[in-house]
This record gives sequence, structure tokens and C-alpha cells, in this order.
Amino acid sequence: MSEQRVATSKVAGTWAWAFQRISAVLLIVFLGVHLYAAHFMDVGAETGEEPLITFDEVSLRLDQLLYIVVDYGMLSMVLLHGLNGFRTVLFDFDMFVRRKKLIDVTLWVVGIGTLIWGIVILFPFISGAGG
Amino acid sequence: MAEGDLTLKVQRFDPTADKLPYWQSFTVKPRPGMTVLDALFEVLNHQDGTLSFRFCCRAGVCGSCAMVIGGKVRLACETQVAQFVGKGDLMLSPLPHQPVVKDLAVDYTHFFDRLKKVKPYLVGKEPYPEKEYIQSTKERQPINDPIDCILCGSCTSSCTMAWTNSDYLGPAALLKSYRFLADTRDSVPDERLDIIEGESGVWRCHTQFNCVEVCPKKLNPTEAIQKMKIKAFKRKLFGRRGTKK
Amino acid sequence: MKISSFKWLFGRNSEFWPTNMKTGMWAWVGHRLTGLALVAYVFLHLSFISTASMAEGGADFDALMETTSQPLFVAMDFLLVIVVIYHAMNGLRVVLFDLGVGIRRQKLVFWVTMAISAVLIVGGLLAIWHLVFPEGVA
Repeated sequence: MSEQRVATSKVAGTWAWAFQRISAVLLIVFLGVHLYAAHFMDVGAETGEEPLITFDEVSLRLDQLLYIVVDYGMLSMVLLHGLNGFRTVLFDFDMFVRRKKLIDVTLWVVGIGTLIWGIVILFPFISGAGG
Repeated sequence: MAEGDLTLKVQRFDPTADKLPYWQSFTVKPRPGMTVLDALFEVLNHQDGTLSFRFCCRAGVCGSCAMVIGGKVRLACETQVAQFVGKGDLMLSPLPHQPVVKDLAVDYTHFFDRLKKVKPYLVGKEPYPEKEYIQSTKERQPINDPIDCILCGSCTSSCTMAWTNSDYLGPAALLKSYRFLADTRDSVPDERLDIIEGESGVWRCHTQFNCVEVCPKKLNPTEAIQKMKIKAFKRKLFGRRGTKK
Repeated sequence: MKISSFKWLFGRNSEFWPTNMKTGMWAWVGHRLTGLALVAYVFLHLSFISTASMAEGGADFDALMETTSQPLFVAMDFLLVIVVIYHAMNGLRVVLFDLGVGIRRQKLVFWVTMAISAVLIVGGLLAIWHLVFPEGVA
């Protein structure tokens, strides 16, 4: 234990910390818009039962560029914030600090993969009923 | 057991003989003004000569007798036993998450290794003065508190991040780093920030406040760490000149 | 030798025993657990949305949304609201500390944010109630 090993990384620490705070505040704003848009906003679709979210309703909403930006922005923020937070939890433990590079690469791959997946799964709504 | 007696439940562990620790009970008769350290001496002198614990000054200055007393890390020499009488057994165990030498004495090697990493000494400014560095009262103010640290290891032992991450410097070392960072006589703030700004430096602190709760000197390592986080972040944003005094 | 047995690390005299944990520790434990739960939820959420691309016109998606309007799921939604609000408000508290605000009064800051959380959670319950019973049943 007496070796002079101090820091695992000088680059990631500061920015990871700062970004975690910035994305946290952004997420609170995004979440408000997201919940309002998904559950309370009236987009004028025939939705049948009121509380139900339907495909047509979401499609109509996603006709507007604003909500595409909000949804994709929220998706990327959530992934960055969530996986960065998960990374923080992992690096609290010695056994994961030792595999730092592997974990960093894995989390980036998972993050970018999920981002692409998340972008793709909204396509049916965007190209859907609205037109 | 007579009325008003106190039962101490002490965690016994001899690494050469035992596989796991076990609790052993001793009954002592509290005298007025008796501290937990006094009670341990009572046991050592009259009941069990094999009990091990560390002590030195008996006045809360040396930081040797920190241990877990009734679920909280405290100094045995500064804790009165009277407050525990009539509240069940008083449990005594060594500092958590540290290697146990024997019974209540723990190995401080890792703790001091962490401390050594942050350069816990003053690096003076050239030209060196003939007598002493002059400091105004205002300049001295920020280090009034952190200079009181007695290196008892309470904070670093009770910090879960310091427990699970052996690279993490821990509150005591970071407070020491802050003490020199805030010192106007010190000449290497950039070097100090280099040491503490890594992932195992200040960013491992998740503001758990365990260190503040247990500090026997009522210091605030968390505040020092937060201030260093801001210093490190400002330097990242505005470059090295931003931290020059 | 390091003592690493469950009984000694988490026992009566450890800092993890509930009566030994102080406000900051509770806040940290809660923040960590809710954070991990929310990461898991994000992936669940995405997988639910992905049903939209399964059938033409989103029939599968509509069917799934029908299922999730059952009382059990609504109750879980409410649980989600609690978790999100706690994580957000405690996160705000951590951000305040990072800005250097209220470190010396961390307990007060915790209880203030928790009071705001409680109000928001009640608001969330009312909002869900309003969604489920738009006509005002009660």
C-alpha cells in the first residue's frame, strides 16, 4: 500500500463531476416537460380513455420538432447522468478501480449503444400517424 | 452486578490466535468523572491483563485512543461513562475497516500512507525569511480550524468511500492538504491540487458527512473537501493562473 | 489482519446499523439506492417504448399502455414518483454543497429538501389521482 499511486485519472474526475451536476439540473427541467407532455398535454388526438397514452397521441406530439429535441435531449442526458453515476458507484470499490479501462470502455459502448437504440425506437412515432 | 454498574462489551481479537473477533463482557463500577479510557484501565489492571488498547496523552490531544464507543467513533479519553449507565451494555470496538493489531488497537499504516501522499508539510517561499513568515490575523483565519487535526483516524475510518476504495485519500489527508493549500506561507498550491484532483482525490467524496459527525475536534473535513473541489474545478476552467495567490 | 465478516462490518456497533446512521449517511444511502433503481428503470422504460416498432400502427404499444394502466402499475408509478423526487431533491442538496452553500447546516438543508420533497410527492399523488379519475370520482 505504500506505493505513491495517487490518482487513477486526472482528466475524467473533474469533468465527470462537473457534468454530473450540470446534467442533474438539466434533467429536472427535462423531466418536468417530459411528464407534462406525456400525461397532461392535450394534443387533440382521439385517445378514448383519458389517462391512456396511445400511439396516435405520441405520434401527434412528436410531429413538433420541439418534442423530438426534448425527448432525445432527455435520453442523452439520462444516459450520461445514469451511467456516469453508476461509474461513480463502481469506482468507490477497489476491485473496479483496478479494471478502470475495461469499465470505462464498457460504459461508453453501453451508453452509445443505448442512445442509438433509443433514437431508433422513436422512429415509428415520428413517421407514424401524424404525417 | 450492583446497581449503577456498567457492563462493557469489548470486541476481542488476537490475529495470531482467533479466526474471528468475539465479544467479552466486563463489569466496572463508574466513579464520578470516569472516562471510557479509565474504565478500560480498570479492566486491564483488575480483571484481564491481556486486554489491548492504544492510549497516550489521556487528554484528547494525541489521537491514539479513537475507537467505536456505543456505535459512534469517539476518543475514549474524552468520553464520560456516566452517559451510558443504565442504557444497557456499552459496546467497544476498534476503529472500523482498519486492520486490527489486537483487541482495540488498529494498524495506522494505511492511514499514514494516505497522509504522506498529500505532502503534509509546509513548502516555504523563497527568499526564506531570517526569522519567521509573517501572517496577518486575517491570513491565518482560514487555517485556524484545520490546524487542530490530531490525526486520530476517526474520520477516515468512518468514511465508507475510504473503506472500499484504498486509493481514496480520505477526509483526514484531504483536510491536511487543505490546511496547506489555504496557508498563505505555502508556495506549491498547484502541486497540491494536482495530487487531490484525481478521481481518487476530492471527487470520491460524496458528502456523506460521517467525518463531520465523528470528528472529536469538531472540525469540518467535508467543507474543506468541497472548497478544494471548487478550487480544482476553477483551475480546470481558467487554467493554472487562476489559483495563484 | 482486516476483519471482513458481515456480522462485524454491519453489526450493532458499525456505522451501518440504522440507529448509528446520521442524516448525511441516510441521505447518501438513499441517494445511491434510488440512483441505481432509476438506471434500471431507464432501460425498462426504453424497452417498453420499443414495442412501438413491433407492429404496424403501434398496436403492441397501445396494448402495453392498456396493461400499464392497471392499478398495480399505477401504484408502481407512484413509487417511481417518490424515488425520482427524492433523488432529484437530494441531488439538489448535493449541488448546493458543491456550490458551497449550507455545508455547515447540512442537517437543516436535508430536512428542508425533504419537506419540499414531501410536498412534491403529495402533488404527484394528486396528479396521478387526477389522471386516473379525471371526472373526480371521490
